Amino acid sequence: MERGFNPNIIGFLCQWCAYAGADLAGTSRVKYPSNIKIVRLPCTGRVDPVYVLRAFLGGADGVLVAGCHPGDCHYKRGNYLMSQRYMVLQRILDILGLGGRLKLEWVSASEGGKFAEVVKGFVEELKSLGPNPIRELGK
Amino acid sequence: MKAYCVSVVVGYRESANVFLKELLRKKVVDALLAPAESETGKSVTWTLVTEPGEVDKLNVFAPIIPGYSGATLVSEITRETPLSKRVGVVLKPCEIKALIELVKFGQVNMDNLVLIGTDCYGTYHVLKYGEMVGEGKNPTEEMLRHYFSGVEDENFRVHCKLCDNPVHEAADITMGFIGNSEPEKLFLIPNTSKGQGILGELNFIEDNVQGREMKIKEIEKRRRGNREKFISSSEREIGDIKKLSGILENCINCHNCMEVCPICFCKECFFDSDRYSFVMERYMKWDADKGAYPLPTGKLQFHIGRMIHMATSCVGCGLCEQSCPMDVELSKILVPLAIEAQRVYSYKPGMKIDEKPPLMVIDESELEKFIEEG
Repeated sequence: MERGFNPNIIGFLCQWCAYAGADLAGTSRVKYPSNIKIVRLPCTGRVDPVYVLRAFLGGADGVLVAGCHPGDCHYKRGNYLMSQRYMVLQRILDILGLGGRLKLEWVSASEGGKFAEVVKGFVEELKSLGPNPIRELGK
Repeated sequence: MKAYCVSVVVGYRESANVFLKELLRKKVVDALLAPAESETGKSVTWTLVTEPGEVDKLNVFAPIIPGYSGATLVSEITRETPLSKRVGVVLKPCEIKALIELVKFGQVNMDNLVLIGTDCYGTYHVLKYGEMVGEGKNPTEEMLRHYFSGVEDENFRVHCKLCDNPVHEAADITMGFIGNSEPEKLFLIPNTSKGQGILGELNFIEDNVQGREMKIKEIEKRRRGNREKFISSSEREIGDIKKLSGILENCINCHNCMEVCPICFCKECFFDSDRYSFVMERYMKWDADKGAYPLPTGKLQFHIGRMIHMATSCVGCGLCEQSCPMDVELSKILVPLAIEAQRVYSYKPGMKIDEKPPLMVIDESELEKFIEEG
């Protein structure tokens, strides 16, 4: 573990659940690490694996995809499609040496506290994983 | 296995042409779409044949894919309007696999299409094929010589040495040599009722194919072994980001690999956009973080992104690697990614039309299970 290493996380959040959850965490003054930079999407089903890859190639240490709980998707099956993609993407990232850096979580609009916990936990996990090896490229 | 046969007098190419000529003469099909020998004889060209007299130009057993998958061609001619005349199309197993994937994505209309498959023991790189012809060799004979002596030809394309589909049983009729112990007979095997109907009308000698299954199993087993070895050695390499970008270092961003891919069918592509051209200030900012910033950007993003998009449906035809002007060894990255991605859902692309790709279709019962399990 690098000393003082502070991971960068890109969060792809669904606007109906996880994004509102993050918002709630903010308005209820629940503290969570500022390591996460949030991108709001209409649904986790909108997450093209290429977005995740782009974040990693741009040097992100972790990517969090969060959306509605199963059954709560506003588009009925967007979160299901994401969870299908996630399985494949996870395996591919493992092979490319980026295992453990992608996380998929279900956070509802009322779970501000859960959102903060997820981010906190992920930051700890990434701290023990160390920086994204892609950052070494071109050095 | 019940089949029909044509005895081989001159060679497999000529025997296949006897059968194909009969299809046109008896009006079983109005036209044939198949590879024919090119002007120089150093390659093959997709050709539409309607006159029985022109069939002799066809060279369907030539161990080569002419830089353009037959599946792409069939998609182009059937996607907008279905065929009004019956067309027989002669494809290799990997082309049939690609065609089946395209049917699933709604990119091929199978109406009036008669699928004629050929056995394939392996193919050479287009340029290697031309080189062999230039040296006075007959590549088809070379391929068959290796088949009959039961060894792998080191000159085959990488993907062919890893391919476990020497035959494809989704074709209406398969023209095959596998099962012979010497170049004796060309088997005509009906796989579907359509194929059975066609062969029943023609007067070919009925025959029992023996030893074919066993031989196919033997090839499958050997190729799967080759593949496992290949995957484990490549995975060691691509798990290291520096080595991974080393494999791609000579890439010139021509996107040929994407253009020739039979599965890649979108009309507009994210990677053709100028998403990865930025103004100087942006580059300077990124450079400031590192002290050095390699340009152009987006090379890794293009290749890995493309591969992630293709992974679950990749049929392993290897046209991407064949079409690379810089000889980038794309197989080292694509083969492990594709095979492992397909393993996640135990999905083998291109086998059956009714087997839907895991990331495309929503199985209602799976969706319910997903909701229940939370």
